[in-house]
Amino acid sequence: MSPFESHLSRSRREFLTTSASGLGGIALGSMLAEDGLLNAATATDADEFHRLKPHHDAKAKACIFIFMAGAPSHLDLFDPKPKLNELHGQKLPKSILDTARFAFIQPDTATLMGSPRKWKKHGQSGMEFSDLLPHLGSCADDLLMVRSLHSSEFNHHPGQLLMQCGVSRFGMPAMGSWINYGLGSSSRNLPGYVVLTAGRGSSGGSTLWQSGFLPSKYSGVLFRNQGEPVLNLKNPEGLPPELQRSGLDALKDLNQMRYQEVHDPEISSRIANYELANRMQTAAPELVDLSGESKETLELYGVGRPEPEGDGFRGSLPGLQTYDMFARNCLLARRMVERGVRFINIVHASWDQHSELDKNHGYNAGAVDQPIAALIKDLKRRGLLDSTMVVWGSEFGRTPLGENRNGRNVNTGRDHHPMCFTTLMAGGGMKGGMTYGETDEIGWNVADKPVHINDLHATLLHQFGLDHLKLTYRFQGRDFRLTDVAGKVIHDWIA
Amino acid sequence: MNGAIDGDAKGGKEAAGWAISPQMKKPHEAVFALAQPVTIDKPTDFTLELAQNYGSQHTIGKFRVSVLTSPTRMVVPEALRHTLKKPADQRTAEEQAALAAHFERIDEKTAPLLAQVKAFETKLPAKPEMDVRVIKERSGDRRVTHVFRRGEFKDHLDEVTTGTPSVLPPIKQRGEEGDRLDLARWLVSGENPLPPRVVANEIWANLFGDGIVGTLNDFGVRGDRPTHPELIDWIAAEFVRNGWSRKELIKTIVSSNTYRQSSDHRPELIDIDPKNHLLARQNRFRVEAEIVRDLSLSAAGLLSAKVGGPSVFPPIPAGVADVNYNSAFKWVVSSGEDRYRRGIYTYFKRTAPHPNLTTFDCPDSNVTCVQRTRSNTPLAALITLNNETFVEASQAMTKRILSEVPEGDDAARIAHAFQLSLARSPSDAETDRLTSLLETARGWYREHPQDATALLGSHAPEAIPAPEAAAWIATVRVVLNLDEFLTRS
Repeated sequence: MSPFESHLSRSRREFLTTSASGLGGIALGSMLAEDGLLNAATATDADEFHRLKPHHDAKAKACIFIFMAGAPSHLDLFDPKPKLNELHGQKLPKSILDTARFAFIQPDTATLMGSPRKWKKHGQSGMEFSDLLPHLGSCADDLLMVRSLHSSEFNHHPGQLLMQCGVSRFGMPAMGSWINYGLGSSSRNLPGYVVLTAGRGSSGGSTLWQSGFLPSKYSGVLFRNQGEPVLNLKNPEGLPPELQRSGLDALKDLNQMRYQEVHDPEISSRIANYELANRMQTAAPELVDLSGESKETLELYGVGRPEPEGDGFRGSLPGLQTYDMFARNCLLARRMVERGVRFINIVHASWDQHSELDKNHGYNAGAVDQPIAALIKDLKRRGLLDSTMVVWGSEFGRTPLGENRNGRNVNTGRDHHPMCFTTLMAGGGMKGGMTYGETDEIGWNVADKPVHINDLHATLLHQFGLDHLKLTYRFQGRDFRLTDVAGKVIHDWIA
Repeated sequence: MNGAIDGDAKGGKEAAGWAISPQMKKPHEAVFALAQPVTIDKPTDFTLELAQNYGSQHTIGKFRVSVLTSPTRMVVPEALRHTLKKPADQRTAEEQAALAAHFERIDEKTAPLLAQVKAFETKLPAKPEMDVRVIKERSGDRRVTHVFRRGEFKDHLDEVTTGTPSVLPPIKQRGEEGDRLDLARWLVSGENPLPPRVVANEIWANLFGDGIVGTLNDFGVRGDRPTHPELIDWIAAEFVRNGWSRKELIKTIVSSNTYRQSSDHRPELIDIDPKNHLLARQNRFRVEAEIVRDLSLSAAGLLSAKVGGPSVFPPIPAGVADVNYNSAFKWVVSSGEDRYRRGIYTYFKRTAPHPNLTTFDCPDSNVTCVQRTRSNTPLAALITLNNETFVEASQAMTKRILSEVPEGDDAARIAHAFQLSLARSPSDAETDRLTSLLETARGWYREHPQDATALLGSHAPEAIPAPEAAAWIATVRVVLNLDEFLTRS
């Protein structure tokens, strides 16, 4: 045994606890094992791997969290309100208005606004969707629709932070970071937490996938839509893979010489990470290469779809092929799940339709409906849906009142509405074909079975085998959780 | 006159208009002269068309139109008309000055001179200073302060008044209630042991990688106990005794035997003190995000030593800054010296911070951070291997080495690369290993000269064949990725 190896085996515990590194313990451990530097069988009992045991049996192994930034209208997509249409144009009692906070609505003159949408019951369950979401409707019996979600934030960035991180303040880890911290990555060559975006940027930006006080290896890694999928993946121009390999071999030898001198286990960790980086250089381009997908699959997702006619859509920017991009992202998410990525965020912005809601929700729904439905069907037929949690969600809903901000003569949009909104889930051990919770007859408040975002998070963690009360990280003198100081698991959702 | 008032902003140059911002809610006058004088010999109707194209919030509220036959320069603004009605000896100094200024503007002799002055003023260089917000204590109408329920600013709990924790020396308040000056004096009175301990510990942590109190931000009951209680007491007391001089404290610490120890790990201590709390050696740690880049630029001879000024925009991978919500924001890469300023001057975009910083644990600037984590990830490896800034450093450092050490002695050039980056000479084994890489690279680039040309970048050394220079770049790049280079030993 070389001194290098003997040191590793002697100080295994130290090595694995101080080298907080790599894409996760499994990746590092298995790589070292493969390279003969560490015996995998003995590694699993070390501290770094302690957390890899879930608190209880897990149904979900991967999560695809589809975040519709900007707040889609529950009243025009998921939650039909005939009474609201009846009361169109009427004012609300002052007692109701006084309890609400608005971003732009002038309460004195605001009037209720009905929805022009046509509604249809889908599947055996009869789950209702508006005519904007026919494809999702075709997945009704695999979907859990929660109509009674509510948030405590009524502006975008805090609301988005609450939905992604469980707390509306800056500096908290996103849910994807928490789950990777709790379970580690199961991919050897790819990050454990990947973010895909389409459309214009969200108001939360990268704060929505940051690791907060958790080590930065748990941060979401933003995959690019154009050029190389991961930043800095390509070798410098004029430096071929052969020389990259020669360079890394030299680097490894030189770093090992240094290790012989100073015995710092962080050096071995760095060697491992350069090797992982090199593997990622091959694995990530392979991941985003869709040439191996069948024509039927590409068409199912809508890859290559053209943008619809018209311009000035809030869910895109001039020149962006958002329809194609979103379809690709959904397909990439499936490919990532197959390759062991633990948590995937698909972000689409913006659904913030203060005006021209019909036109822009039409555009946005058109962008996301087919690809998400395709993702659910594709996961299902490949036997992956049971272990993959798909979530469709946003920061809040939109007001039953038409938005009448100063200077506007006609109401064509809706304002922010945190009191109730809808979220969808599929797979990961959740019940399909179930509509949970109710809002009142105009969609203003939750009428039955309220669900706070902390409850949603507690339940999602539960499906990953994690107890939201036990998944903690000590920071600034106290143990922090994804669910802050609240949250309860909603057992009614679980199949 | 077409488009003179609030011209259609989308209509391009010709339609450029006139608006009143920021002089809102004040009288405004505009005088227009006919391009061609009109002679009228009988009663005639004039039609005045006012087209306001900008939008509903930019229309004129109340206005009056007067038609004059005199030359436009003889039109006197309303305020001056009042002044002119007063006898000259009753006008105030301000009124006189306003009158004189108006006269200078219309007088045929002074007007062109004033125009010249104005033209010069537009060429004045920008002031180097930046605006600094000064926060002043409220006097008299002090705001009532409450505890906020879980930080929610609209959810008030108990009202609070000024005071300090009873375990610490009492604050001396000059008035009935304490103010900011009282607090400042209390913090640095020297009687209060906490501030010097916190500051000294933070300085210590920068020099050793960890604090004597491990929780830099928490000296309370939930914080770590100090590893060396007497030492933290002593350095805190020294710090106060030397007039709170950070420089003196740093000097004291770095000249100590403890600081000057080797950071080599000592296998015999691993079971006794695995985290090196007792400091039987120095600590090795990867340098902070900003410094990772500074180091490479410095070894390459590119780093700018310029201090201060507004943030700069070093190269950023394409597309990163576009995902930032504000579609009008564009990351325009700084040119000249600003491309190579120290990392601390890099512009921090809230929704799209520079990935070279965040990947090396530079914290989100939205929240306070007193203690950074130090990760070691493949994404960080990809940055120092492949990112534009770091590749450019390899190219510039190659140019430096090839020009500073004469041709023909590879070992001397490798030794120079080691001196520039690690401040030591390489061992024979290290020189051999790099020479072997250099030879492999030479072989490749001799056979693939087009690759060699591509790798040279913007710092191609003069009079060196491309294959030779490229082979050195590939070699230097490895030196700039050594663990030892990225690590404070």
